[in-house]
Amino acid sequence: MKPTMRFKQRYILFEVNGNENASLTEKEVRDFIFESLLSFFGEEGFARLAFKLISYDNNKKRGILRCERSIVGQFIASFALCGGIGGKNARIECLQTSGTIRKLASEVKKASSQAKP
Amino acid sequence: MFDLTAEKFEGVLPKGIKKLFSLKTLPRGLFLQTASVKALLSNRKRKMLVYWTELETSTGAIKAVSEGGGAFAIPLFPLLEKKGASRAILLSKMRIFISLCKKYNAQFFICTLAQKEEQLRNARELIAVGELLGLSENEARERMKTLGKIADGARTGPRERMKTLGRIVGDKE
Repeated sequence: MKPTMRFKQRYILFEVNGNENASLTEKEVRDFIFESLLSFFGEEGFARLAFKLISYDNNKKRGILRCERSIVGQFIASFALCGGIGGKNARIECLQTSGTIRKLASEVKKASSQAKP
Repeated sequence: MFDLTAEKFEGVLPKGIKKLFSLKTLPRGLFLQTASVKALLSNRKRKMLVYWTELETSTGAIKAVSEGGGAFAIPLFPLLEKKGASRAILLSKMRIFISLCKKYNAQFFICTLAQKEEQLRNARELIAVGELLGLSENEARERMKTLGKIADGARTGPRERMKTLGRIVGDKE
């Protein structure tokens, strides 16, 4: 495929925030992400999203998502408009957007090393 | 970038937000929450923040607030409480209302009016919601500063200035 024909991607670093986030399982978070995106964009919109959950660390409560470059704003707004995860007082906060996974992974590392001491 | 909340949150400042204004700490009479056009028109000469719950497309009311130098608050919390078709209808109402505000040069800003800590949003998310409502990124960023200009301006009104000079008896310590 020509580079001009493929999806232009952006990667988003997110964090699960809230009082009850300790009790959220990885499956709950994954299901919530898929359900909320599907309800917000619909099936046709979801197909254009180029969405992929790259990684999610349940201990750090942080993960990386992939989406299409032209709809990053709508993608972030869809999470901003979500009330809670599985009826609990928790939410997904988008922290940073980047064109490469490496940059976001280094951010996660930096944050965890700062939190340790 | 500023945000307006219903409750006072101490020690919490979302990323990218300079200051959280709370309804409880705003000067009295600066904020008006109403569903009626009458109440809006009776206060039209005052420079204030208006949360118009109905978001009606009444051009007269929008013009009145615009001429008075006030600003409309467009809060996120009703969107968080709704789902499906009702949320879609509210989004559409907000879009039309914002386009009218732009047409008649009325000031407005997007805020959370959060009652709980979970309802707070960071600056990037508020801008993204602004984009969803038909603003460009730069425009949304600029509109977010409106709240600071009006709320801080109200604090430095004549009475506040007198207080700082110690000229009002009883306010002296």
